[in-house]
Amino acid sequence: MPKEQDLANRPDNTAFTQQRLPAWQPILSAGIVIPGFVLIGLAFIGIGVALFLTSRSIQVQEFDYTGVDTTSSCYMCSSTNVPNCVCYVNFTLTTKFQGMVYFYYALSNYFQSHRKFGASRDYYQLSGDTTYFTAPLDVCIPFQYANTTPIVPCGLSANSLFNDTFKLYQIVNGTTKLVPFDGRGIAWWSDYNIKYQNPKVTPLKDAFKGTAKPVNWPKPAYELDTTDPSNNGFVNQDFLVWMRRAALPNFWKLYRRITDPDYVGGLPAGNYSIEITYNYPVISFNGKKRVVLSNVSWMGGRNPFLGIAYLVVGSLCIVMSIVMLIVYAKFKFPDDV
Amino acid sequence: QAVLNADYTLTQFRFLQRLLLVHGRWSYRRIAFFLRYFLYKTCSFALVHIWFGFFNGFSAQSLYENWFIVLYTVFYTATPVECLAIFEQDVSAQGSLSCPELYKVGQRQELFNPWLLTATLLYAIYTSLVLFFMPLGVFHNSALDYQTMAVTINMATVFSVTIELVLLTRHWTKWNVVAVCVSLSMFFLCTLITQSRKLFEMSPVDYYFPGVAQNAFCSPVVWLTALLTTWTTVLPSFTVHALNIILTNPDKRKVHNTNDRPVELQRSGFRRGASQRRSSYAVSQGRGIGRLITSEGSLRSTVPPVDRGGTTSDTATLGMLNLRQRLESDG
Repeated sequence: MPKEQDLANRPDNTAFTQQRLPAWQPILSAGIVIPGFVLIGLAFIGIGVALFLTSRSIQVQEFDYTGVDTTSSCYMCSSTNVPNCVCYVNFTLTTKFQGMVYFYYALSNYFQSHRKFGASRDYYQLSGDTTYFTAPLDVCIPFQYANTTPIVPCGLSANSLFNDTFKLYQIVNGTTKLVPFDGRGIAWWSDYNIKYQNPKVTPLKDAFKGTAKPVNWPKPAYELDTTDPSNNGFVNQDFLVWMRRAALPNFWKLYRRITDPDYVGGLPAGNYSIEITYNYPVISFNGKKRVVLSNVSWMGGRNPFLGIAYLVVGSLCIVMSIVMLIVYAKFKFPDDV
Repeated sequence: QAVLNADYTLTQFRFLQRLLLVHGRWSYRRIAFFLRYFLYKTCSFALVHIWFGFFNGFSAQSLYENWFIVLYTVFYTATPVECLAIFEQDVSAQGSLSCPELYKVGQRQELFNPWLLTATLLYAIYTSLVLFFMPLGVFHNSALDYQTMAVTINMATVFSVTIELVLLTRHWTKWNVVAVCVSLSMFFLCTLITQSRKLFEMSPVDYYFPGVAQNAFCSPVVWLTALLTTWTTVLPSFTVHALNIILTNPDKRKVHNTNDRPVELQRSGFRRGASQRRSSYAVSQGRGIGRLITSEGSLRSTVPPVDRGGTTSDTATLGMLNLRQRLESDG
């Protein structure tokens, strides 16, 4: 071959092309590895202890009110189809329930994580785009049209809005005293301000002309909270909390907070009664409904799993480092075995 | 014409030695690691959906946002493994040339065979189980929602596969470091961008996770869950890696005439596969030569050769060992 061509085809002689890049090849030894494992194990155990103790300090009271049991107080409501049936759950607090107290409702065996549940909503409608009020998206089928009128907000997610309501009473000296609830700010800031927008029409009712309310709703969207325009329509806090899809079949959803000056420090010990307006049917699919009172910490609600998991993994690391130490010792001094 | 049709063309026969012993060997190793790692990272992030199926009525609901699925293979995990595939060297070029027996690793299929692939797959299944069930335990019966769980598992997945790659890479050039750092920061950046307000307002249907990342990245529970999940998924790898390091300690000077072979890990299924995946510790072969020659890391020191007669106490073994020590100290 001619020399010029040879030289012309010669590949570059740089460090990159000739695979001569400076590199670091880590050299680890037992002296680094075993203490490393021990350190990580100790760190995890430390975190686990902190999480576990924090979780233990959170108080939770849960009351099932599905009414399956004939002796349960809500049995009458669950077995009849009377709308707005009222039932009571009474409980006693033996010690003060530290505040701020959060009031949740919890559902079981309820698959908000099902694909059809999450897909069945119209993002354009919920962003306030009125062109979709006349023609909802097809993903909302079968909750798209009611006879020929378009449904707003369409879809299964919106239609299944939870409609039980709760009131908490403290029983003091034979008289019942209402514990006021605070429904502001229970949904995400980004949901309230970004994801969901009302149509920019005042009064709001005019935007909904020619549309129908979802089939299972008692009132249309623009009447969700007639007392407060900033909580009406699609930005209603309860609606937003419901639309924020849960990950798993058993979940809690925040209903209210107790921020009243009398109770902001916590609920004093005593007798209490929760008045429940039982509307939401769950028995047909073996679902359960519960009411939960909880206080929260920096890690959210009670979560013993995280603390215990950290403790387990940390202990596992320590155990493994001990095993490795034994293996190393045996390897190093085989005659001593 | 032969030149145009051939995969490799040599102008002189002497180039063949370098092509085969240096680049051929490196290529085998790199391709084997690359393919096994790809199998691992893709299976572990996809199999999560099988386990999630049990909790969403088998409705094929994805646990991740679409953008994560798209960008995972492209931005978050591609460049580090590409750097592995381009730069990885276990022994230097001079070492490969002076110890041609190392080439037999490829001929004996020690780095890529059905058993290793099965082991990798099993390890990926284990990883996906941990990636799903640890957050499940945290999010079960809580007020946390589906999109936060998605971001948590996203974070844990990206951390896990990146750490796995960090364990796999033995030859760290500056590009490897840059690739790992850039990939991790791309994850956070792209997640924040695809879940931002502006994009959602442009197209609500395409960017349907607005505000989730901003919320989740500030939540200590999300970070703690991701950290725990990551560590649990890489724990078997770390353990096998650590055991290999401990059991190939060069400071040992005693002759092993005992019949126990401490370097062999006679452990079950995926762990052994994981150790083989790490580097060519031919532990399943049980032969002195392959194991001793191809074990690395601590052998780069200039400690005089360890006489590990074992059961193959022929001079060839010792010859190989001396060769290995020499080439390592050269390299």
